[in-house]
Amino acid sequence: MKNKKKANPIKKILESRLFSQLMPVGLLLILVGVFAIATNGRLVTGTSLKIIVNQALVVAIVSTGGAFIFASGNVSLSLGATTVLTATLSVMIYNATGSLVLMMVSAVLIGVVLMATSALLSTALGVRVMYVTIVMMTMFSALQQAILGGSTVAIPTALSQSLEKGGFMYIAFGVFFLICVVLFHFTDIGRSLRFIGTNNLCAEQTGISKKKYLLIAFIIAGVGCGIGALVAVVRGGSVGTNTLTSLNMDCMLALVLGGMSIFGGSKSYVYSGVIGALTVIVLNQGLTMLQVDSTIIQAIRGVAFLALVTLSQVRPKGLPAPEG
Amino acid sequence: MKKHSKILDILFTVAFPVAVWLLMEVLCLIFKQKHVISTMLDVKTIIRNAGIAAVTAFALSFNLKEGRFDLSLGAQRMAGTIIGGLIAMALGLSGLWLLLFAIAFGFLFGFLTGMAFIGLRVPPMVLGVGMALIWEVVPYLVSGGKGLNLFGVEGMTVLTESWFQILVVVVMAVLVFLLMNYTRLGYETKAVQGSQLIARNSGINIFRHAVECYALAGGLVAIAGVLDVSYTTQMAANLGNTSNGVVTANMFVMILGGYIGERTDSSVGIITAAFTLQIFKYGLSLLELSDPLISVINMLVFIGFLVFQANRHKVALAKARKARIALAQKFKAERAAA
Repeated sequence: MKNKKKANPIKKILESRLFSQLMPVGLLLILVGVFAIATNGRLVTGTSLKIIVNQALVVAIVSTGGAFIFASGNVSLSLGATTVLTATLSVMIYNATGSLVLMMVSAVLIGVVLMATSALLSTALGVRVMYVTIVMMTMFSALQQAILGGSTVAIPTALSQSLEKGGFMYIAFGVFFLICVVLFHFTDIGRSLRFIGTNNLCAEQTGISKKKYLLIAFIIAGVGCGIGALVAVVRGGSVGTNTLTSLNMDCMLALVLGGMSIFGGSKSYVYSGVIGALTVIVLNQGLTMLQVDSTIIQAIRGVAFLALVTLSQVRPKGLPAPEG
Repeated sequence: MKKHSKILDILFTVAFPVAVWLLMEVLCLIFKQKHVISTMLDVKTIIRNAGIAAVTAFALSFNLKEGRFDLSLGAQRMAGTIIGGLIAMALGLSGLWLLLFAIAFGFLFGFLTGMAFIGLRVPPMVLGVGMALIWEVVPYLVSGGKGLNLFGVEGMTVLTESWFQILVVVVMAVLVFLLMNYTRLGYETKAVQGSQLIARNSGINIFRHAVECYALAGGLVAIAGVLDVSYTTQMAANLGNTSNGVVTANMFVMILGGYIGERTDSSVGIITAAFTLQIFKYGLSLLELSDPLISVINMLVFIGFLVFQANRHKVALAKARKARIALAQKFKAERAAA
């Protein structure tokens, strides 16, 4: 008689699709609940919730675009630097032309060109994605510093206020998010990227072009960076070398907290960026309201990040390596 | 593998810094009527910066050669240097002790990162992001946010001496050379570089090996931190995952060093690459370009080199294909003639 190993029920639950879908929402609700109690309801007042949503918008948009790259099993470290450089250039274009339409169109185009360049270096010229994103992150950051020097660029306050009041930030986010949901969950693009993330070799052998879909993923992420840059400009009114310095980290943190597997694949969801962005901001806001030192908040973010990455993956028997 | 004579190998190695020096010399003479190196101060600055870059690249190479990019190395550098420096200052010890304490703490942070890696088994880049957030907090809290300031502190002059800095870099290079060529660690590194899976199946303890690499990288990067602070006299305790910029900036040194070292040894390659790129940067600064612009140019050259690295085998493949076709055509012609 064969001795069948009994499957560990807890492990089974942890690895189930339903758990990976519900866990991030549950985590967000728990955090909101805990901080609402701890702050005597100050976290869930109308003003506080509006601040949380507004703060989460840029991270949510950029990480929603970034989800396409992560789904393919790749990690991009240049999302933050691309967004900031795009914001800088688009504000300069507005200041040079005075055209709002041109600023918006150029922001999206610049984001796409910057990210597509990264993708082409990898897909067409064969440089490893890891190297490309690190070099691009350093270069875009330095380029922004070279352009700005120590100064800042700004759009007129009246313009940023009218755009904010007109609901531009919510409309931009809503439209981009809806398009991303359709592309990711109801088209070949999302399916192929998830397939590549699940098994790169198998995907290629079934006729899916990794190069093509990786380029598409970077282009969509570029659109996200462009829209994110516009929202950041509208919210802040100006861009300097200290703008959105933690965006890159926040996007990674948001995707992980939102339930995205760091290895990509079938357990990738485009809404991870949104839920994760809200979770990151609730965590920051809640701890700040409890007067926890900002230094300690950073350490808590680091520990939470590592804990959730570990929980969201099946622990390999060996060490993580490209060959498995 | 193609074998070259020793003289050709040496010429190939020396050609890099010499060619870059010549290029920058011409540019500086044309645009600024200056020489790249004209005083002893220029020599000292290039040696010091090349030393820092080389030691950082050595640290990076321990993990990066095996496909692990530790994004927390910058935080380990900061934590090791600041904590080591504060302890040495509190005990009234000399600069040499500061260096030793920094190495010890860098080693400790590297070791703990390595333990986290084998414990959690998350991808190294992802682990690095999380660990950087945690390690950045440690020196900030220990120093009360002030970082390390050696200005006017007695007993630290030895750190600023050029001979001391050269000695440290040479000792490090020799140690890395010995480690990589004559020890179990070097043997295991080569095996894991080839294939981690095969290395493991052949009995190598890849877990212990990874921890050793992380710990050594931490110790080495702390030396780079001390060499840096000996010149600037202070190191800020930065937060917000911003500490790794100084490390990633030296990735080019490591990759170029690996290429140059193919003909000699990776340690020699890294030192040569560090000098080559320092002469390049120094020349650009003499042309009065700003630091960010120099960084942009440096990264553009790096991208160009990465593209070359990723495609250089294609030239050899094309040559081999051409030779094969020529041989086939010759054979066909001979048969037709017969």
